[in-house]
Amino acid sequence: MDKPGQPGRKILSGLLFFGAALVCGYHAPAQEAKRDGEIRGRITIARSDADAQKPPILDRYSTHRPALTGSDHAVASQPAYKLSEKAVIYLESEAMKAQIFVPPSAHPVLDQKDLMFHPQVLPILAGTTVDFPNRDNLFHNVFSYSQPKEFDLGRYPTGSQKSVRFDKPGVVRVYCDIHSHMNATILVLENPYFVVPDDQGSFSIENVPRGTYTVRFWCGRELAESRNVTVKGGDVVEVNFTY
Amino acid sequence: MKNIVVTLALVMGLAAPVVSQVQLGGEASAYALKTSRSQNPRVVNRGTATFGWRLDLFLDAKVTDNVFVLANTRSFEDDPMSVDYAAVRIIDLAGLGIDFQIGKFDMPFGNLAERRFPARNFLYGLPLIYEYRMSLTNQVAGRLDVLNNRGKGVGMRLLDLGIYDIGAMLYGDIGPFHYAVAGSNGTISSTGFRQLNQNADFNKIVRLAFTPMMGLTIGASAAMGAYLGDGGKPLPRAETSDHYRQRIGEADIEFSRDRFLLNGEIVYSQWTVPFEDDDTKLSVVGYYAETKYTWVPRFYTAVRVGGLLFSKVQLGSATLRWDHDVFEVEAGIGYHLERNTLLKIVRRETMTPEVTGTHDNLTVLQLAVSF
Repeated sequence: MDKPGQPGRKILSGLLFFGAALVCGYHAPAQEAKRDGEIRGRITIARSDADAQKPPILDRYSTHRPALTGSDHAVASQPAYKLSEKAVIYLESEAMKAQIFVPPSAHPVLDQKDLMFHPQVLPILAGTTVDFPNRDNLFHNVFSYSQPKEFDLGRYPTGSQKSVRFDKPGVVRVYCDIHSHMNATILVLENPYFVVPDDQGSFSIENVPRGTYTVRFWCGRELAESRNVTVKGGDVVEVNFTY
Repeated sequence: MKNIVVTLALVMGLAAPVVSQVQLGGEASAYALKTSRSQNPRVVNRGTATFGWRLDLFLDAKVTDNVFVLANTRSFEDDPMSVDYAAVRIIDLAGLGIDFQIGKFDMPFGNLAERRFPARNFLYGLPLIYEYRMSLTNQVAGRLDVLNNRGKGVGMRLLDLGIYDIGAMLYGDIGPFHYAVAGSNGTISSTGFRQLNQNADFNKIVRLAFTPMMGLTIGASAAMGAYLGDGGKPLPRAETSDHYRQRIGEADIEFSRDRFLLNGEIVYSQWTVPFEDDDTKLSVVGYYAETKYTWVPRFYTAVRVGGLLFSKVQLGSATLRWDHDVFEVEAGIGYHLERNTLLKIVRRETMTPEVTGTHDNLTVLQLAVSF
């Protein structure tokens, strides 16, 4: 509230702010929402779970030593991944390749639990560091021979974790040297416009700048489908995938 | 081989309606090797460079939640296909928490496990105790002529190449402890899976293993059984072949941490042998330790040292070592071309100090693929 005797102060402040905004290119939130768009849609899974990990039916050498898996039953009874653990929608754009995005300081996690990696597909922005905690009561040996990042974390026990930073964009296939059925994929992406759908398949990528994009749908071990879309200011573009 | 393939096909065909899940897999490997030239039994192809291959096929079938069928076949370039493993496994027998297996399988003795297959073997060969064919020296064989018609004549391995045999076993885990009790046709050093039982005795095997901490398993196994076949020359003092037994015990360790792996075994075996006025005993101690270290992704080095130390035996007035002590060092590097494709270059030196001219070597390049 203006103090009595200073009626012009608010007006002056407003004029100064307006002038500065013009010089600096500031956009108010209302204008931001009008400029950016949203890509949303739904994934429908029509096929059987072809990407499910195929663990060995049982541990053959549990006849000689305490079972590596804890018990023979543990191997045979692994559940299938939920959609939110194996699907990713992400955008690619020529215009964005030149831009630099600051990776998050928080470390995404690729868990080793119940003889599976969780999630099966982990999308990250290039430059992000991923933590690999071992939450099983046995050794795992996480490694990758993929071109964007080769690493071998060796064997480490329950409760401890190791971390790897991924600088180059690309597809990183991750395995366990001890449990050959365990696999996961880290998608190292060039921009932060990616999202994981919910378990019903719904997804939404918000604040997408105007432009032309390729929307890619990754499921399990493979790129399932790609679509080209154009986002205009304030648009909501709907893209649905069936897999 | 044709019969084996037809039999397996028939078994799979007949079993298909009752099997709920089947997994097929295997390993293929090919190698180029060159050994030194000598009369040593470790020499391959008389020292001439040669190529070879090996194929292992695995079949695992789940019949019900508790009943499984497992099979392995093994083929070499110059051997017919053999069915090493064909067994039925029942998990949690009668709800007692005890597992049961019957058929042809690797007996629960030692900790070779999956390292017997090329893609999981850090090096090329197996440890001496699994591969080296022990044989009586000429002097000893001449005095133990009663054995002449009872052996295969090509020597005997201390642990018969993975100890596949026909038998049955009960096994299970109690916390960090593992136990197994088995009976089999042959003995640990002379398994009976290629022929019917040659004497009336069964081999008895017991194994205990303990995992006190993650990455460390300590085990011990013991076995006893008659090893002589019936037939051949009459035995002294009208004994039956069941009287002459192999008694064998071993201790083993498996340790891993970070990028370092260590495996080791030490074995002591004793055979009661028929001799003129009294029985005599042949014994041997075998051992090995092997390590592997992964330096960077894809690339590792490994080394194994091992030996066999033979006892001296009193034969009448003579005291003789029944075979020559042998030592071996095997070292190599491995490089994973792909996740399932391993290239190895290995050098092996085999030494028999008591016999001149028997320092042998082997150099091999091996490519192993698992699928």
